[in-house]
Amino acid sequence: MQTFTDNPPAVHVSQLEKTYPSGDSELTVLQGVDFSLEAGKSLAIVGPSGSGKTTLLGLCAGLDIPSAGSVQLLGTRLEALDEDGRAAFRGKNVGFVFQNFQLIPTLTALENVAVPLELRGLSGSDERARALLEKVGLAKRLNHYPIQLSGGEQQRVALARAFINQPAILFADEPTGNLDGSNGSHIIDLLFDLNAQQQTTLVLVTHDLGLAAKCDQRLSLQNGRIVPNATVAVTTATATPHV
Amino acid sequence: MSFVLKTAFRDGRRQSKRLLLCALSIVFGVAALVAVDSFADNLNRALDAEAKTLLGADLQITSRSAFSERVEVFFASIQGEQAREIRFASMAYFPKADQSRLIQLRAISGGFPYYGAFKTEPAGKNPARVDRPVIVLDPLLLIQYELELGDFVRLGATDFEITASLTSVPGEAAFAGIFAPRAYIPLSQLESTGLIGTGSIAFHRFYAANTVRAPEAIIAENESFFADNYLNAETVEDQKQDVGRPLENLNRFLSLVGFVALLLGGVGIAGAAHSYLQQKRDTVAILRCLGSSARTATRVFLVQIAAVAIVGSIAGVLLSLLCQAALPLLLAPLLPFSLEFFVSWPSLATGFVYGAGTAFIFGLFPLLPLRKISPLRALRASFDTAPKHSDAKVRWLAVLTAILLVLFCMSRTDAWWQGAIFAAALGIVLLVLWAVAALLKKALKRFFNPSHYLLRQAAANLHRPNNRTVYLTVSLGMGTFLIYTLMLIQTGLLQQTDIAAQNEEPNLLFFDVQPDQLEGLHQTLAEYDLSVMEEAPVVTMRLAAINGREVSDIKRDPDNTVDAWIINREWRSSYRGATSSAEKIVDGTYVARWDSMEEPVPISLEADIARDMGVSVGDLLRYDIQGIPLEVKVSSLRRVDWTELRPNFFATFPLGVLEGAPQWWIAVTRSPDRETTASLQSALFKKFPNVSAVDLNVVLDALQSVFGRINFAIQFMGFFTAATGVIILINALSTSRQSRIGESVLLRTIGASASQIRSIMAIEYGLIGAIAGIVGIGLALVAAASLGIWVFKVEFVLPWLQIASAFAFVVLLALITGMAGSRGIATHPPLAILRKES
Repeated sequence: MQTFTDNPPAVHVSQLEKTYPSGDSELTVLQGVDFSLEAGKSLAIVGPSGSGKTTLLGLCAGLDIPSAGSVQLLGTRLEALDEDGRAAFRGKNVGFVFQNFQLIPTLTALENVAVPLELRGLSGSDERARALLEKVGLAKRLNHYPIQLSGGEQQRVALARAFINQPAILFADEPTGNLDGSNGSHIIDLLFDLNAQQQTTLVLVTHDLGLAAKCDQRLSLQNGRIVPNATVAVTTATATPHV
Repeated sequence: MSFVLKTAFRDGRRQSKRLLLCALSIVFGVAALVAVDSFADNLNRALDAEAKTLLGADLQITSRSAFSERVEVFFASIQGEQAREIRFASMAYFPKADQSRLIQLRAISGGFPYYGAFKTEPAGKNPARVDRPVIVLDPLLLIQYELELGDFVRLGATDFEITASLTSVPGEAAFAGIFAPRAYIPLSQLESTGLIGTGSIAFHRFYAANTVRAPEAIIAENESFFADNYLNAETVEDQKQDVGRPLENLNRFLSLVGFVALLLGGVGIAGAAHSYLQQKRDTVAILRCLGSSARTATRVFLVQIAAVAIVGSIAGVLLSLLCQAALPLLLAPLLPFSLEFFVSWPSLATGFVYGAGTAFIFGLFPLLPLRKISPLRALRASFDTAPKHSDAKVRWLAVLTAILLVLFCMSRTDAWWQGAIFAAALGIVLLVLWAVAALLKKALKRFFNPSHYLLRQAAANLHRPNNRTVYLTVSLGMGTFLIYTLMLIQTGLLQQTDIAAQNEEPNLLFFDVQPDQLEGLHQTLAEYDLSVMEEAPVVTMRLAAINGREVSDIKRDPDNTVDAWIINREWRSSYRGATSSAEKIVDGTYVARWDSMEEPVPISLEADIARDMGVSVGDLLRYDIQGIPLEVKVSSLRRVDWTELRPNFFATFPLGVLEGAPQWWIAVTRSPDRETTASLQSALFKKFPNVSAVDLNVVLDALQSVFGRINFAIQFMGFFTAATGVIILINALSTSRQSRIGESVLLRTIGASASQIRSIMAIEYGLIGAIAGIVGIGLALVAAASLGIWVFKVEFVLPWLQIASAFAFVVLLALITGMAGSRGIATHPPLAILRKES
């Protein structure tokens, strides 16, 4: 069994499998997925719809538990933690950006961004949220509710929220999926800028090959399995499945 | 401030109106409960404060016959201050008006009342202290016959001068004179009237105050003496209970009605919270993604539910302060003491706890499943972790809720089983409503496929995913059931009096007719073109033994199961050759004549009293007929319709046995109108002043008046239930507004007209109203019929017109509330609605 004592990879996935009951039988969504991602690097998970990308992202982030195999984030095996333990781990080390922004509709932009720090009971959450919102260009929209913001603005709030607790790992699920080209580019630039500034490890799921090309590594999924040596149209690096 | 509190506040701030609407569900329930409890508290304090004035003395001893010498010796032995009273019903003639009517005549002597005051206008005219023929009258009589002070009233052979009108007597409500107005004369003047003769129905009272020994001790030491001499002794404490018990029962009933409003409010909270929390599932998933534990995320909304519970209860308590003032006003005339309104803090606190507790517990039902929301839902909206089997904690909560409900009901009823039955009945109603609604959904889905699009769409709305059909049907149906049951019971009870008043039944009853006056009575009636419809002799007697066991032994037996009233009462029995039209033999054979001198004499007993005495056909009894013992055998049991104003008796003897016993007669007739009744009464008084005539119309008026007040109090409480039902409906509609907007927008986008959308909604609400109405009214009919037949013992008649109007009302209520709650959805441009509502 492999262990990481000194410099563990930020994400290490081993023989990951996920099945769901489907009537009398079981539906296998992911099978035999292995990979590693070093700290500070970025990984794009690509593949056609239904290939298991979002399921893999969810398992990597500890939002669900695998049917078999294991996920280690920063050297911590997520399966060893209970539900609350995984939540606490996420609160401390993980950030999220979702395709549909997932802001809490009843909180203002400022309050949405401050939530992760407030959950941990840390002080100065408002100041830090304000600073981050300024950084993403929303200094004048602090007290607006999500419904009062455009799609691009909402995703910028989501970015600010994702980075507020200076996560070691950021998971992004189709971060530009609901945005037009111009807004999408702006979000990508912001995402990579903040990522570079905070030295965050980035795992993102995308259909956007241009976005995938910006990542250090790419992992292509098809029918729940990694496609070895898959050719991605705009390829600057190959996926590096860990074996 | 902690994250939970801060987030709960921030999240709730944008939805304060919705949360307030949710809180409104319990406001009326809490207000109703607090109002009833406060009234009870006010009542108890007043009872405590005025306890002694309830009796006017420390000890009261009553007998149905004149006190014997032995009893007089006993009275002398207890010492202290003493007073006497003889009270009986009698006819009074008012020469000024040339009219007469039945009154409650009270002849008093001594210093009564020793506590409280005998209040008259002008003051200080207590006739007990006067030694000439004076009379103090209920003001009702002064008004009715336009009498003034100084005018005269003839009682029997004597004219009494009116010296004052009666304001109040200790221990009697203003309503005490409603059946027959009261009149007080000096006891020294009673004999001159000649109204009291052998066998006359009169109560002899002895009052004592400041006795050497405590009244309770006197009673305890002389229990068998009282029993042997047919004396009934009462202390202040007994009187307190006598006065308090009926009010307590009414209060309990009212509090159950209030509780139903609260329970319905709980169901409302559960429904509104369910809908509210459904929309918070994404928020919970997001919070969990951001690092919140399931517990923390759930606590955010737990705080909101708790806040709703607290705000709703506070609002209910505040509303109750207004209502608290109303109940005493409604019921004050029924009370024998003045009732002052004060804020009952314990009742406010209890009501608050009940309200907040109910809201909180019911709110937990939709809250608990939030724990199971997976953070994955944030990634994929379609991801739902609804457990295949019901949540164990929800199941335990349901069990706990059921136990608490049963306990509450049990604590509010006289006997624990009554509370349990009440709770079980509510449970059954809920279950039936739920089952019918669920069946309706299935049936619509499976069998209802009309070709008309609007009908098809409306029906589909009732069984689509996330529909509110079951919730709406249950809440609306429950409200309908409760309110309509109350209405039906009231209607049923009042109908009884109406029936008696309207058909060809007798409405004028004469009693104390001496045998030699019978002929004269017939003649007088004939002068008015009337005839005696039924007449019967009355012989007074006492029960002396049951199956060879002396009554005195039975009284002393601690395991005795025969009610004291049966043993102690003075039986007024009759003899007749056949059963009357109001009687039916249910066991044995009625013996018409008994010429043999042999005993036991075969008699017929009323079935219910026979059951209470524990005797059946063939059992032996012994009566003491004014000093002469007579052995009898139960030869038949009769079922008697007591609602008919006819001479009915517990025991009837065959002809040939009692004819020679001291007796008087009772007779009934039907007078065509009140004028004839008044004139007949005057004519009869002039001939036979001792004969009393009871005018059923007067009794019915009095009954209606008393019923009216109690009914109004019940309706007042029923209003709270109805108001809660409407709020629940509004809540349910407001919570489903969002999905309706989505559907409406979609339909409008693809070309549906506003009227088509309105029609779909109208059909849907109409259907829900119709189903809730049918089930609610159906259950109410079953409940009211059961209560009517088994509890109130009245005939249950299906009020078809009332049923139709109740049904129409429920459908209209659902329709109007539904359409009002959906206003704007069908007419505004789709985009504008989306922007405004989302």
